Amino acid sequence: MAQKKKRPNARERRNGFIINILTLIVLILLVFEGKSLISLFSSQTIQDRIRQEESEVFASANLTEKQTEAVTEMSSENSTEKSSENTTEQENESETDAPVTDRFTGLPDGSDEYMDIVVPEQASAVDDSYFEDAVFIGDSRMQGFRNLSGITKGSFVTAVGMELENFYTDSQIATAAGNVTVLDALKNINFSKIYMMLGTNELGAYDMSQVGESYRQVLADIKQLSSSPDPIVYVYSVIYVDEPLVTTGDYVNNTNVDAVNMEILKMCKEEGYHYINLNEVLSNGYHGLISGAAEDGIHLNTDYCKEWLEYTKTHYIPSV
Amino acid sequence: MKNKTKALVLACLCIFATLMLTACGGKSSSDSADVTVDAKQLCKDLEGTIDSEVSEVSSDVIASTYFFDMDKIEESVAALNSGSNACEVVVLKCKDASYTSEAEDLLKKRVESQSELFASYNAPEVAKLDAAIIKAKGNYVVYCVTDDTDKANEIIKNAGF
Repeated sequence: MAQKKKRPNARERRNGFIINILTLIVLILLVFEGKSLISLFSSQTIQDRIRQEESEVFASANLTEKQTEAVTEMSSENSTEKSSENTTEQENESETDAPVTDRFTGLPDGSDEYMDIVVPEQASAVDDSYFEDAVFIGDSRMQGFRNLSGITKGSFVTAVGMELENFYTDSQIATAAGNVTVLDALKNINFSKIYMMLGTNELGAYDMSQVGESYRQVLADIKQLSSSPDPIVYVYSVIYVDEPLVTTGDYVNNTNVDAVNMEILKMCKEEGYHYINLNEVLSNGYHGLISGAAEDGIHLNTDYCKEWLEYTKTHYIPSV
Repeated sequence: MKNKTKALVLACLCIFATLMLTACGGKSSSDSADVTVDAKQLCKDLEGTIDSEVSEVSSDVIASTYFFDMDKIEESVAALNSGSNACEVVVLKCKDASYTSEAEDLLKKRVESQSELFASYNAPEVAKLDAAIIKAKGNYVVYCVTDDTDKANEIIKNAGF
């Protein structure tokens, strides 16, 4: 006769209950962690995690090294700059008298009659709020200014390759909806001050007087779109180039820069615009760009874009 | 005794599974929702793949250059150049992962726009734009046009993308 199964006692029932609860908990946790468990035990993931952790450790070590290197480099650069400045100063002095830097610096020869429209330095600098109602229009150099100068106010309508010839025809201003023409972009901006920089892409022009005429027309059309009946128009000089570094063509030279700037000065004089002579602070004193100001000889690096901004803040027309 | 052993084994499994739960709260490259990226460091690392000078710009410049809705972005870091070439870096942390696809679309438009402009201005730059990197993971989006795409891709992969 088979042995009858004994009914579990209270203790055994309790133990069974506990075991069932534990089983349930384990199952729930396994469901949540199943995916991670699979990835944990995949060899590819183990290798990736090891590599990731290694790179984190080395990155923090490298950061410390780089900080130390940066301090060392800065102090050695400072001493190198000082010694090279001394050498350059000595060389310049040996060649000719040291250049005098003032508001005449960087102006084309023979431009004395235009001095009244060259914006002089003001006693105090404006802050960025001065640019809230300003639009900055221009080519790749102006774009670099926007990117690197640290300016915080103002609207920018800039494009690499912008020039007087394509000003009306090319859809070159990026918007959320795609590229549009300069004038179409300006229609959506309220501005009563204009800062204009064109001319670098005109250095190869056959007829510089035509450059002046085209610039005149462009500015007249831009003014029409201003929210002010009489906007302030600032025209930046074309900045000199560092000729030995320029690779974009022989026509990109400082003789042509002076020629374009002469046409711009004439236009400003005739139209009542204000000429901001950036070359006062960016010229090396010999109708050229300061050495080291632009990696490619044309587009200013961060320090000189900041210099550009500071010059703009101290050269403005005080409101009457 | 048998029940006790069973209970012991189950208790150990419980503890193990609980530990797994807490251990998996950190970064995991296989779980996109848990990606954490040091945006500034990633941007810095990617800047190292660009030969020319780039500089980090303000959020206003980022907004006006890429047309992001900055209200939907928690953190943004971007490095732009002097105007001479097409190289640039953007790293975004969106407030919600749902915005990342729109951010990616805006970056694709950026690449198209730049390609159009550089085709006539500086044609060799178009090749860099053709190799532009746009990647999203979790709440993060990274964009890079660089002189060394392979190195940039490696940096981005190591960052968890």
